[in-house]
Amino acid sequence: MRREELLILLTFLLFVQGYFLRNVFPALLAFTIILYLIYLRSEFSPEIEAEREVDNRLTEGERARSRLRLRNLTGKKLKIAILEDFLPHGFKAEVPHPFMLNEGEEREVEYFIVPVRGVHTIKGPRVRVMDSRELYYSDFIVDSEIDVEVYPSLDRIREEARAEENIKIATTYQKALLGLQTMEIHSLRKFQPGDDTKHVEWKATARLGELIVKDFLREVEGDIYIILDAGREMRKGIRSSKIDYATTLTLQLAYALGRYRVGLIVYDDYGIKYRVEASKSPEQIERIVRSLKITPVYSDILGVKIPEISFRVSKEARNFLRKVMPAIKGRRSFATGLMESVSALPSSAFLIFISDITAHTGELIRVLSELKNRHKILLLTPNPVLFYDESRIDRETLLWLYRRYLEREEVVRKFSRMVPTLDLGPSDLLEVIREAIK
Amino acid sequence: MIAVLAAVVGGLIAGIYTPLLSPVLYLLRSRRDLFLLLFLAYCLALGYEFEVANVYEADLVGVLAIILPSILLLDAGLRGEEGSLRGSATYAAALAILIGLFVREVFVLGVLIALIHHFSRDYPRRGAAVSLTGISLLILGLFAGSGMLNLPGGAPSQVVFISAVGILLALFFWRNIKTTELFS
Repeated sequence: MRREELLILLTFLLFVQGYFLRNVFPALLAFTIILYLIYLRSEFSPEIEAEREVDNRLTEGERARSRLRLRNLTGKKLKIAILEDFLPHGFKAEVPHPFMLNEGEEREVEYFIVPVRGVHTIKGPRVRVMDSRELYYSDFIVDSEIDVEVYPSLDRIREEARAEENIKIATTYQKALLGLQTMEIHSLRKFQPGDDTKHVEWKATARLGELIVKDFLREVEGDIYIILDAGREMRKGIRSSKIDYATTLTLQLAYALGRYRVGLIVYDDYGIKYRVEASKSPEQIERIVRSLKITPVYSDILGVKIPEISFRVSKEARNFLRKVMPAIKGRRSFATGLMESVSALPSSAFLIFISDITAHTGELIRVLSELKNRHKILLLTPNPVLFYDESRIDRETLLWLYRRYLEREEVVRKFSRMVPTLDLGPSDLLEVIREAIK
Repeated sequence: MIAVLAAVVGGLIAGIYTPLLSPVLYLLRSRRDLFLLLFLAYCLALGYEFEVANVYEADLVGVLAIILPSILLLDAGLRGEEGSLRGSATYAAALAILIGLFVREVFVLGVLIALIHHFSRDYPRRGAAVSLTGISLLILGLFAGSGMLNLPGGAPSQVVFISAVGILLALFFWRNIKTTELFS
């Protein structure tokens, strides 16, 4: 029920009361209340002017200042409420409490919005203007569209990385990840599962009666390239997208490997999006952060069943489409994004691939099998099954997800035979990967 | 505060007790929705307590002494904390209302001053004209139809006539505006 409706109900009851009790007074009182309501309705014609300002460069998760300049163009007091219902998905707003704007007054209201990473357009806000009695309102949508770039929060990544083992993490990483070893023997140690049998020191083994292996000095100077897949498959998401997770992981890796020459290549379905050359400079993390403005694609659809329709396309037509479609979608050559990115790599480097292996499986296998002889490779792959919103899963979806999970296991095994492969869920960040590799 | 004073004094002038509850309503002005619900009960109680059998023979000062403070109270309650007013006009109105205890006509003058002062904050234009037009139409209608309405036991016909004028006015001047929810 609405406030005004309560007063209308009152007038109706008063008229009925007057009629049945043969009393004119309630009718006169009801008539006066009707006049009062007509008076208020006639006087309510709000007009405001509003303009919003927001910085174009924001940092994910950090409160960004939004300045809203409001001007009351009427000769009456108005109550103002700010409603941020046009913000991009994932954004949050800390709007101020409703406030009074005096007749002709101009005021600048400051409040905060908390953005999520990506390139977005901020529209609105909606300004609800009420009369001073709060019986009526009118909504005004501020005519502004501001394009903002939201970068991942460097401080947060640093804190997360520090929280685990502070600076030690980088050293551990070197041991765990960097296999760029020299032929110089560093020490002898007991055999551990996973050690190459070629490195067994037979003389020492015979002398001590247990398996002893040679530990080689590891080369610390080498380029490390993080190759991040930002294709559509990675950007899709219902609760959270894989790219959100992958960019956080990229930054954590970049930060943890800060002592080495770390570079980044971001590619999508049509080519290289960003490339940051390997460098040890202190600004390198900043450069990497700037290259991670990737917008996720959110969807409310969990799974749509498409009816099975089969139609034949001739071989010639298929070949034609294969050649034409990439060009239509903006690809610059016949090489895919992945091909383009690996062709730009130096002759020898440590490569960390972050990609969804189910998106372009065949191509990824081809590329990795070609690269594994020249480079040390680690493949990190966010498992899409683990990125589903569990609150929206029913029995049928669960079964479907399980089947997909099993199929995926097989693919992961295939990749693991080639290069070390880690299947990751949304909560597996740096620490988990480090533990897994150990 | 002037609304409460007017309601209490108006109640004393009219000889009824319901307006003595007006301070309770006034104290609830910060909780608009609760105030509206209580105001509904308050008005119905006024309707039971104060009787006018024939509008043509009614005690006009008595009727105004109840109706005008009720509207003042309703507006003060809806404005919430913004409702209270101070200033020379308010003090003059308060003085006139108090004098009204002895000279009833001065009370009506005092309430009218308070009402005009209270609504002048809206800088009214169209609304004031519409309200005055509505009152004039009702008075004119009552005079024009006195032959049919001024009869012994004619209260129901008068109620129907007043409600008809009220509904017609509402239909004529109603504008399409979004309204706020109760307990929103």
